[in-house]
Amino acid sequence: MSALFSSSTAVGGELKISDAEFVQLRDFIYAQCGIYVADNRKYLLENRLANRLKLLNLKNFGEYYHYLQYDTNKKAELSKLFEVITTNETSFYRNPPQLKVFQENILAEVIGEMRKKGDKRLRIWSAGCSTGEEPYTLAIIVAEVLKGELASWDVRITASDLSERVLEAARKGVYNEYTMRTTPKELLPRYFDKDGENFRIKPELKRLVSFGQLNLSDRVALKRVERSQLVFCRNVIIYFDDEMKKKVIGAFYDNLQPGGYMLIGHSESLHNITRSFKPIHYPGAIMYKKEA
Amino acid sequence: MTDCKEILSMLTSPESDVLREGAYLAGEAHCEDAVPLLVEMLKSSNIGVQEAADNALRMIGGKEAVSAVIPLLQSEEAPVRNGAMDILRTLGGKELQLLIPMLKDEDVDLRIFASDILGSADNVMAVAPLCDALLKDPEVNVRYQAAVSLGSIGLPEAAKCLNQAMRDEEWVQYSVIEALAKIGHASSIDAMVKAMSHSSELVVSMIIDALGAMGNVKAVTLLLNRMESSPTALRNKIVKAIVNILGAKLVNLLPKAERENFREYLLVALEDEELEVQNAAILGLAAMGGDDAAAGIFSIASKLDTDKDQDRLESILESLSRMGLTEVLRTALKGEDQAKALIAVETLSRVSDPEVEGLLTQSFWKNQVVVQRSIIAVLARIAGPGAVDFFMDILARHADGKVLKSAASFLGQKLRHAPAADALFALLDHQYDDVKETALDACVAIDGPEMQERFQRLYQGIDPLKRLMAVYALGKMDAAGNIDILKAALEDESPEIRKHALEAVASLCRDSEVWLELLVSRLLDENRDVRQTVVEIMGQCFSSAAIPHLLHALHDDDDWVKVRTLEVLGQHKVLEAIPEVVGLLENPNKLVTIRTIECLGSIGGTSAFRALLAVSGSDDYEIMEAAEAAIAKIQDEPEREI
Repeated sequence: MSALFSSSTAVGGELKISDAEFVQLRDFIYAQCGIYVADNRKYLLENRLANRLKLLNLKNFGEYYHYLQYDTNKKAELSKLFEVITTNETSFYRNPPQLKVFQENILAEVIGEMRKKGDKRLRIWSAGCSTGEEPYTLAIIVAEVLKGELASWDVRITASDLSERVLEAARKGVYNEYTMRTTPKELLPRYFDKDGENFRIKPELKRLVSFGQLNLSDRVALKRVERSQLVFCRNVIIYFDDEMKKKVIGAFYDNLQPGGYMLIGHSESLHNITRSFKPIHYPGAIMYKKEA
Repeated sequence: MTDCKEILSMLTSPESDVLREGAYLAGEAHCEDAVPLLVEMLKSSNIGVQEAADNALRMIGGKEAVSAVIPLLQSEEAPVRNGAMDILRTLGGKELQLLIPMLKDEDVDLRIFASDILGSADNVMAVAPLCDALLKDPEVNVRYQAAVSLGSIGLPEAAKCLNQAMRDEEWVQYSVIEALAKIGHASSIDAMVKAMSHSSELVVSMIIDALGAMGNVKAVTLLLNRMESSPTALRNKIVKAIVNILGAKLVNLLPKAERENFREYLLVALEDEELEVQNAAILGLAAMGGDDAAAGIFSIASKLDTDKDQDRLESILESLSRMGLTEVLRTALKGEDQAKALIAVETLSRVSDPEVEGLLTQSFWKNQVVVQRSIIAVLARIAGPGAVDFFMDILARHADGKVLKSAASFLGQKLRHAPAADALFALLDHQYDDVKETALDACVAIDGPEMQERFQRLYQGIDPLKRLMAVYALGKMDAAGNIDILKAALEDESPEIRKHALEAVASLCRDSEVWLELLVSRLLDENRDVRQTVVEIMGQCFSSAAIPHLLHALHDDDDWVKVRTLEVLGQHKVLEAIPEVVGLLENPNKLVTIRTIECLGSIGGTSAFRALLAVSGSDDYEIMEAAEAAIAKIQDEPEREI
């Protein structure tokens, strides 16, 4: 008997993933996007996918695996699966102490060095940009640092994510008040237009950011990203196992221009992953420099 | 893939980017010729280049790479040396013959490095040379490292030499004790206890921990003998070790004369600042009992963070519950502190004592809603008919969804208490679906003509959710008696209602023929989920009359309807379906093809076998594999003729 309110109540407990199905699905996910679902997240996967299975009228996770491989809608479902396994918790000005260091020390240094060389081509890569809060925050920070000079600079923030759905939202650039909770209030009228209860990114800021789908396990695709002075990959490598972390961080290192910086999430660490970067300690943040 | 020659040219580039890419490719291609150049790159001042070479050498591995890296252990540059050590720890285990001779090198540092690297070897062949170094090397740091490595390897073959090394100086003793604890060999107990009489306080403390970790009962008497004379900190450690060794059997295994003393020591250990000592004391006291002990343990539990300390709290509650209905639980339940009351309820839920029900019932209304939810969930599980009035009162007066669910479940599913029908039926209008669902199941459990009448009236309404609930309930209570309503529901505008009506009709399939006729009408339903349900029910209530309809469903537009049909035909081994089934082998959806193959394997017979043989030569690996499995399945059933 199917659950009476299956579409509206949490019924995750009904569909159990067996160990064999979990391994099958975990390996499939790893092969598709390099994200490693650890054993202790098995129940999370089971819980989050249970509703997908119900909606698709599938009996078990083995059938879901087949669906992902063979069904005519497999591409759309893969996208849903990616949404399920990556949490998209994000906001503007996430981790303010780290961004303060970035604005006052790192970006100021990088721009200072560029000015000395007469180079006005600034490239930033926001990897795992989710619904766009991070790259737009970076665009605001760049605009704040360059001020009136911004128009004379060639600035591009490449924002990538695995999930097409979050990118669609990012391209729209409309946000609610909650995602603005740590944004300095005085910046709101400068960079956003009011859109009912929501806030819409102003077009001149929007044009600095270019969104695109990117699978971080695709080495060839990573090589195609334009080389940057700054790479943000905050709360991205948490999804990977050590081998994949090494590959992804190696790709960021190769993407960075000498003297460039990489920023990772405050709960993430490069310990046992790479020694290539020079960690530079600031109050409340560590910046990773690719030495020239 | 790039060939080795091209990679070698990349590895001589002055550009660091090219060197990194070359190293990556050399690793991927397992290019052994690149090893000398990669080893040179390990000396680069550019860490990015160093790291790329390091990764590549680990991927290539083998004798070639190990031999080339060993000389770097003598580098003057610490990072180069450390990098080489790390690579050899990963690769050296398979190339011991290259590493063991280094234990005899004149250079002390090299002997230390070799001892260290061999510890990662995971190979019994490394034990004898390391034992030799432990007992004979003149340099204390080599002996220290050899003991660490023997512990890392963790094989019992090392116990004898480690026991002997307990006579070495204190610095070596540290690593020897740790190694012995990891290996856990019985012969080491005497060696360690003997060493206690001539060792420093720190070493004695380490030995006590090690004996506890090893868990050998033989050590208990030896430890008890030292208790009286030990200072409090050390005695607490002994308490921990003894509890770890004896566990819950503590009371039975301790000599009678020792028990009360030991209980006193446990109470003292409850105050120790080390969590592990506290935890051991809790386990020990749980076995020995007493209100004073329960109060001490409860006090620790009440200071824990329910999120961060979840596992510890769970284990403490388990201990507390083993002590039964203690005074501290009664007091907490009556007190103002809701966090403590919750702990008490959680503990009481695990205590089997007839007094618990009354205690929880009396305290229910005095507590706040969070505690009430917890209390009623426990009562719904343990209470009997005597609690009916209490639960009826809750249905009448309470507003919280979770509390109401527990009450509904108790009165409906557990007691089938007909006088609760009004209140339970009213909950079908509750704002939360989960409350509705529980109330619905409670109503179904009560059943009876009056309840059925309520649902028959409910079906006449315009709200599709209420019609759905009515169909579900009437189907569960009496599908045959409500067949007219169920027939009407099969034509309902809501597919969910149609599905539930089908399931209700299917419950009649063993008693009447009407079900098939009703089901068939829905095989052309516009909704694929409904059509799938029809096929599944035909499988559950299978009869030969269903076969023509199933064959028809094989041509459904939706692939998942086809898949379900194939499953049913396979499950019931419908031989006459084979010609139609074989036709699906050409289906463009690979999943349908694979399920068709599985279906043929389940049905069996000559024509299925032939069809499978034809696809077993497919270029597609998965199809070939599925066909082979299906053929094997047919062959494994001896009674069938192929």
